[in-house]
Amino acid sequence: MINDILSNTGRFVFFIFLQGLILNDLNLFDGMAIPYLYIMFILMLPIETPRWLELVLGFVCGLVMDMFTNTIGIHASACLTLAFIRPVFLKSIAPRDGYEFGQKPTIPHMGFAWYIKYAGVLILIHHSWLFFMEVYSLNGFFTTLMRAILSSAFTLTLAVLTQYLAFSKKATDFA
Amino acid sequence: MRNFIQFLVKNQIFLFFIALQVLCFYLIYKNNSFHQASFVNSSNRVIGTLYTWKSNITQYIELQRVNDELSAENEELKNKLKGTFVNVNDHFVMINDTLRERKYRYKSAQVVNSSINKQLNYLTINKGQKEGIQPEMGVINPNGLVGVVKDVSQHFSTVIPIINMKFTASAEIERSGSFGLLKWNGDDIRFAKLQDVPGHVDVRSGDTLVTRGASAIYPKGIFVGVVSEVANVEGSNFHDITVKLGNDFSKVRYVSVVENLLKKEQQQLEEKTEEDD
Repeated sequence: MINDILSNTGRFVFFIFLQGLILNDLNLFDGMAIPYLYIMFILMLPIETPRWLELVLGFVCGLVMDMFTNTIGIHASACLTLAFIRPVFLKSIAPRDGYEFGQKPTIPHMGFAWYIKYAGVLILIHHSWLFFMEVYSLNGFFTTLMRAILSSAFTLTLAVLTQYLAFSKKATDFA
Repeated sequence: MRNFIQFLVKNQIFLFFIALQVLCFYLIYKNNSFHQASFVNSSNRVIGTLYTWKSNITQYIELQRVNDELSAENEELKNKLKGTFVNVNDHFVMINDTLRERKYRYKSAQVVNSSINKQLNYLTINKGQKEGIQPEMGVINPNGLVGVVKDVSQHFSTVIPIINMKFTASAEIERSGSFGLLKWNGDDIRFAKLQDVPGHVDVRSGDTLVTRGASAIYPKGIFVGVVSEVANVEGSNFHDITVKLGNDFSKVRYVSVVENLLKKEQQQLEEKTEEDD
């Protein structure tokens, strides 16, 4: 329990700093694809996190990112949506006999295919919400959608890479 | 009532979600509509400090590019310096000023040939008819009066300098305002004579001599020289005044030709007055 709190706090700080200081300056195809890797913090929360706590954490995480980008409320709203949908989605893609206790939503625990489905869908939801909130209109709907899809692909790639580079099975077991 | 409470309990998570989402929208709306430095944006101290650290690091990476930019800008600015331009043609741009009327126009020219060792010395300058030079225009330079244009060709003009015995000009003593005729006696190129100044006029050595502007050739008040010697000739009503010229004619290289734009008007009026007499 204490370990969970510590490791998640560490991840929060790490991803926020990574995003705020480095990744926000990164983009591909003239700003069409921007990676928002900081939502890895939400994606890696324990499966059995209380829903109210998850909502609060999502809100706070988004708000902190908003401070970096000067877009008060937009990231918070997108992260809140993500945090609300994640438990529901986790339930719907659960293995036949449910999750084992202590199982984490990561590649080492759940496998590559499961993770792509899990992270891909949730990242796409978050990014779509984020970009449409940012544009705040349906003008150029397909451009915005294209941005969301390309950015999601970018983020997903980085997310998978992060799993392989930083969080080996041993490390995640310990954390 | 009971049902309502049940509904709240059942949907508490969803309602919590909606409440937070409303808060988000309120923040977005407030931030967009007031544009003020809210307590949560990057101008706050923590994020600001973080961004300062970040720029302290990243500006080293940028140095090469910034250098390139600066040197490109330097190059551009250097190309705009006056020194990089050569005057191809002195066509001046006239600005139509309705408040004042321009009386004198200056054209700079370079002395391409000059003589100082004769009685009738001349200068040749590299501007002529094409640049609008005409006979009887005044020629000056920063050291003072030089002379007057005599003949003009397409690209050159000859100038009668002060050190030509045919040269005459009306000059006045700045301090007293009394005037005389400036002439060169063919002796020393550093000195000229001021003639026809009456003996009762107070003239001292050291007085400044300037053009009088009477002949409509030169502007008034162009420096000519300094009185170096005042002699009284016995039996004469006039001073014998020697003037140290401001210009060293062995060194005159750049001059300005003065065009008096109102000269014609002045001359016509004066001629008419004389005819009436």
